[in-house]
Amino acid sequence: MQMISFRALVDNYGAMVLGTAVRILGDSERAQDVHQEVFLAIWQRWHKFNGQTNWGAYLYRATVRKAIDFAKRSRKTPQVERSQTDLVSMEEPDVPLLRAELREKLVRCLGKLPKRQAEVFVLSRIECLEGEKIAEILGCSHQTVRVHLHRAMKRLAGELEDYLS
Amino acid sequence: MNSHEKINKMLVGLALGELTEEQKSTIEKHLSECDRCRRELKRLKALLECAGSMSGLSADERSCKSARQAVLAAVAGGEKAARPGQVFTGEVLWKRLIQSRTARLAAAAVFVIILWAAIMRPQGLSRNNKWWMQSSTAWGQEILEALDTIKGACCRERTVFIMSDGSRNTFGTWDILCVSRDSCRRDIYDNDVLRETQWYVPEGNNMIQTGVRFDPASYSVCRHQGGFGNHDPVERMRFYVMVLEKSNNKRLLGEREIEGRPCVGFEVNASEYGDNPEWWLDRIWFDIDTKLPVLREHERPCPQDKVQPDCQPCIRIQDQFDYEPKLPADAFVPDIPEG
Repeated sequence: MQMISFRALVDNYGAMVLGTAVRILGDSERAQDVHQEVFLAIWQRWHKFNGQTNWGAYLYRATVRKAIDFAKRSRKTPQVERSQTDLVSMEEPDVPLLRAELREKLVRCLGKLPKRQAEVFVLSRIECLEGEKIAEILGCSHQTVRVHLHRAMKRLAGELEDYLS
Repeated sequence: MNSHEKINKMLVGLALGELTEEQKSTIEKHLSECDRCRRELKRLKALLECAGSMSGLSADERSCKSARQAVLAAVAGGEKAARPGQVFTGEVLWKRLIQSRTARLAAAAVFVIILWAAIMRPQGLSRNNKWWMQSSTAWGQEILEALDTIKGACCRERTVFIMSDGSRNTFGTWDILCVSRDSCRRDIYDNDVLRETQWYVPEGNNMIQTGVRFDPASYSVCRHQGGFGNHDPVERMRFYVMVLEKSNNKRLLGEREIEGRPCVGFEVNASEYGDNPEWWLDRIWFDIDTKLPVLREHERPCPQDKVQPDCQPCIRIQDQFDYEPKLPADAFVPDIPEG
């Protein structure tokens, strides 16, 4: 019985978990690892879930946390700062690399934020969910979501100052 | 709280499009006078743009299927022998292994392969071994480990334009880039004349950039916070090795001698990373013996199927790599002329 229910959970929410992880991490390989870890963590505690779990909300939170954790653990990638006195115009070929690296930096910076701020930022700006839906997922008010989003953006813009300028 | 602070707190709301027309006009008036807030708003917008570019990604059907199978297979493996929660214990896995005939056969096959590899190993380590023919995961890791041991490196970086008649024209401005474990230096030349030197040296938690630019009969100095980042050739090579390691579409360019060293090269489309068009190419050549990169070419040809009148094909080249160079002790100490 447990197996049937668990299989249904994977079938119903697997694509959502994988999609969220891909959007955060930018690659399918690590996203699949996140998918696996999220569901296996649930399976290992399966007997503790009492049938009242809001799986959509639970899996969103678990996926966001796990994906950010994965990004933090990833190997070092090139930094992308550019010197402000760089007068050589030949920088252009590397701009797309900069964009990809900026995403990676952003996700790593999310790991420095308080958990709630990071979750709100991802759900709002990457998952493009409405404030009400985010409030439901996180179990807080719409106003709290808004405050977390503002704080997250301020903090991220500061942390990524060298990259966003 | 003064008006600047009040308005600064509203910038996020402005970037998110949450403000009323009245609030917007108040902020816009302030922005026309406040450079700091203008810069912050620009950063906030860039942040939203970056996050927005991530929201467009999605998982393909094949990945969904494969991820689903992986989870269910792992769980099914434990279900027969154990309760949830015990699924990955060594005991359970071992029981599964010895109970399954297929698993026993697979284990025997693995043993034979390992034995064969051990016998072939001496030849494998010889110069004749074409390590690049093996799995890119294996040699990719070896190259990354080799790069990790590098304490310092220098290389030349220049740009070559490809003219309409096929001839090549090397751009007169070129760089010598040097990095140590924690500091960097960039010498920028106009033809044979040193035009500018930039040092990137850590101070506390910050990286401080100092630049000295030489103009005819004068020079200028600037000093501020800023990292070497994108110019670090070792870090760039690490990135490209990771791209090559993961890519299923890389092309082997074969073997060739570069700067007197036997080398092997790979080519990969720049679309494998970032949002680059697929006609941009990266070619990386590795020393066969040391496995260290010796040449990188980033080529931007014009697309053949699209007309782009302003397109100027070019190749960015990093070559003349010198790992562990013998640099003067003060190579990374900013040298500001007196007077």
